[in-house]
Amino acid sequence: MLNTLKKRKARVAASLICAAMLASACGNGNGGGTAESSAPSGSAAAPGASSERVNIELMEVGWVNTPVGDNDPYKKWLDDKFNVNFKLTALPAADLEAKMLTRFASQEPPDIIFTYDKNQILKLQSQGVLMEDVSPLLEKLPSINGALDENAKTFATMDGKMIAVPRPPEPGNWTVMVRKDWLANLGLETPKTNEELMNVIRKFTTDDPDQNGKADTWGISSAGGGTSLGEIANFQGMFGQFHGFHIQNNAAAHAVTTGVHKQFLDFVKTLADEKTIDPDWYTQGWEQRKPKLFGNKIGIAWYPGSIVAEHESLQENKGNFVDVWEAIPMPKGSADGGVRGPNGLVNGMYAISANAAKDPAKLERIAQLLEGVSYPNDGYWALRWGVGSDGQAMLDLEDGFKFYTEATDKYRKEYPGAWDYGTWISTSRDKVLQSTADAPNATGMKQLELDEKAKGYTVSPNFNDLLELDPQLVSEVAKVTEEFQIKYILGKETDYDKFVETWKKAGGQRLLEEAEKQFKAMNLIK
Amino acid sequence: MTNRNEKVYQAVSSAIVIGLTLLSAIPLLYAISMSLVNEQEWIERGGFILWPQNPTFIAYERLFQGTAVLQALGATVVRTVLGTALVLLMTTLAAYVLSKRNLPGRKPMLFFILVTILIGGGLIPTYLVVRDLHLLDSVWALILPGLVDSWSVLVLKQFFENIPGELEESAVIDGAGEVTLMSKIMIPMAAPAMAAIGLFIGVGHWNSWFDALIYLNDAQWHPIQLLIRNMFSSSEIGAQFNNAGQYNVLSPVNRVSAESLKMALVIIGTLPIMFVYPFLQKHFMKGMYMGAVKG
Repeated sequence: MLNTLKKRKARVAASLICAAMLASACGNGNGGGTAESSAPSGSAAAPGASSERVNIELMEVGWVNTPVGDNDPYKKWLDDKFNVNFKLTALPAADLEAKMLTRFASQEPPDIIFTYDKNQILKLQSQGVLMEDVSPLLEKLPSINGALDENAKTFATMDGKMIAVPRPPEPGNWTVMVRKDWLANLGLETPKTNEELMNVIRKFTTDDPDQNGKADTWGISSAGGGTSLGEIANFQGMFGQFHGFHIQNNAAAHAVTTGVHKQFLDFVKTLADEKTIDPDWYTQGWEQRKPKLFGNKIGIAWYPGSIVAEHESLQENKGNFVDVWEAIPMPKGSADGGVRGPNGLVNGMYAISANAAKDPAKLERIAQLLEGVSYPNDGYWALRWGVGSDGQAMLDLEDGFKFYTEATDKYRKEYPGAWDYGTWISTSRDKVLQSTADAPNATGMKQLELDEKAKGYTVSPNFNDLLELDPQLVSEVAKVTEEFQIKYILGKETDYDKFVETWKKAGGQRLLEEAEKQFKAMNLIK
Repeated sequence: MTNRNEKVYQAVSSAIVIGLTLLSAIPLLYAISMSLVNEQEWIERGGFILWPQNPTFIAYERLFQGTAVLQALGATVVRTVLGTALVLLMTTLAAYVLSKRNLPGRKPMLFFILVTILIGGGLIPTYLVVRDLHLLDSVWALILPGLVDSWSVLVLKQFFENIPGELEESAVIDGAGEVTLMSKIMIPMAAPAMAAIGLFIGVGHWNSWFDALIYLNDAQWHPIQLLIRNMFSSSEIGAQFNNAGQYNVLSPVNRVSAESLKMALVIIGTLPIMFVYPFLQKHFMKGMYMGAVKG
């Protein structure tokens, strides 16, 4: 009897183990894991049309990167409009490369990749897993092609072949914002030179500009996050070009070798020595700085027009802070100075996988999709703003501007990840004022005004982004610079000439020579 | 005199350890405190708050309004419970079998297990294996690749070897089969070691996010840590969660800063697993050393 019992138990145990192993071999996934091999899921497709549907997957760096719901109106709109089975994979920038490389290495690539990082595309291009030349595709994308300049196309071209479809660049709307009410209270003019700026910063710190009887203000701040100087680095523009390697006097140059960087460091050092800069400027993060900035402790900031909306929202939206900020051009510290840093040559790129390119029907559908969702076509408004896809509407304002309120956007309130349908197509050319308010208000109109002013201020040309430089050398040189500049500002290092030599030895000299060579090849230097 | 020196030494050591403990606790205290403040207090008190004056659960309310956080928590709990149970089962079975010195092929089997501690297949080969087993987009992709933990097998094997052979012999004499021997005698004796190993495995599963990033294209099984990582990298987190439902309200008393939302996420992702420790505390220290000491 005991033996029978033992045998029964052994059989039961063996059966359980086999069942567990069987279950482990069968996932509830789709096995292939790609849009290519999965069955179309569009429930709206007519039985005859479902066989024509093309699976298209887009992988991108998203704004939000959280899941969307099952009844996704944006996917449904895309699927129905373009007869596709569209899959959006949105990831943080730090994770995109790992995911992308895994998918390509396992022969299950996404069809379209949208990224801001050209190096990622170059990496894939060198492996031969991307469409070699997208120029024929560009001809089918008049909405994108028409907004591209030669520099943007050059940026996306390697060895005579366009490696990805560039997205048209965005005009920058960040500039120097100054508290004009403080200027008025102290009888000061808008600073136009570096010396005037220094004077304003000093007075903002010492002369109680908010007239509250307390010494609780600083002229300026930054948000370095403990790893860099933060956005105050943009003030190098006072003294000249500072964005990477550029051309000056018909030769390749860099702010470290032209003296722009030193002049800027001396400026910030003075702020630190005189304690006219917020003491946490180097260590605090962007969000951590906000209580001071919008708590009326900081007089000058590098910000876009949204500074008004953020300030108002943190001060109970009573309208008291709508008109306290003014957008001003970068003060001039030299003949070549007074510039903002350059805008990017492109605003991201769409790379097409070689797998997708081999299928003419899929490639054609991709072209239709990209053209259809690009500004100013209907698909743009549908994906970016939910017009026609999720019941949203635009209100027309003056001068071609439009107003969009988040107040009625129920789906994206519940599933903020749906905003990522707009990440890969968004552009400020749409002139949309986005607001949480029900109707356009003074805050929104002021934000528009400041942004438009900023876009009109002088920017330096963008030479650096045309170059193909060794990323390792660039990184090493940047590291050396970051380490030195905070020490210099705090007085722990004083020998700038020695730093220049170190910078050159770390790779700066080789990069300068390479930049010179490439500029000559592009006929930018004679 | 020796007693006095001893007391001084104890006092100084205790002071240093208490000081270090308090220092270590500051980040956690910051996270908890920041998760309990609204935007008003955050602005007024300058952003670094170790003790909220007007604690509020508004950050948690906002996070749990949508389904993303709950779904991710559910996925993590399923993965952790299932994963821990299965890993413990497989590891115990392997360790018990390998503890038998008269097992044919014992040495080669041990070698194969040891080798995996030093050498792994790498990301792409592992992905290909998981894909070819049709595990992608399934919770099993997060559990099966790590089903047998080599280090734990070695620890448990050592533990089983330390159990006196006479116990086994007397059980066999009394008529116990292998399954009874293992389930009624060996496993209860190995409970401390299994508790410790189970805790390590459970915490490992709870904190994992990279495998989910690679193996899951569908967000249904995304664990809480991956969601936290994605939300931390989002520039829109403040705007999203201050515009949820009826909270178009613009007063900072009813708003919550992005920093508070992030800290609330950290607490949501940390607290559940921390609650497991008290239940296993008594086994933990004992189990840590059990497998290591022979005799």
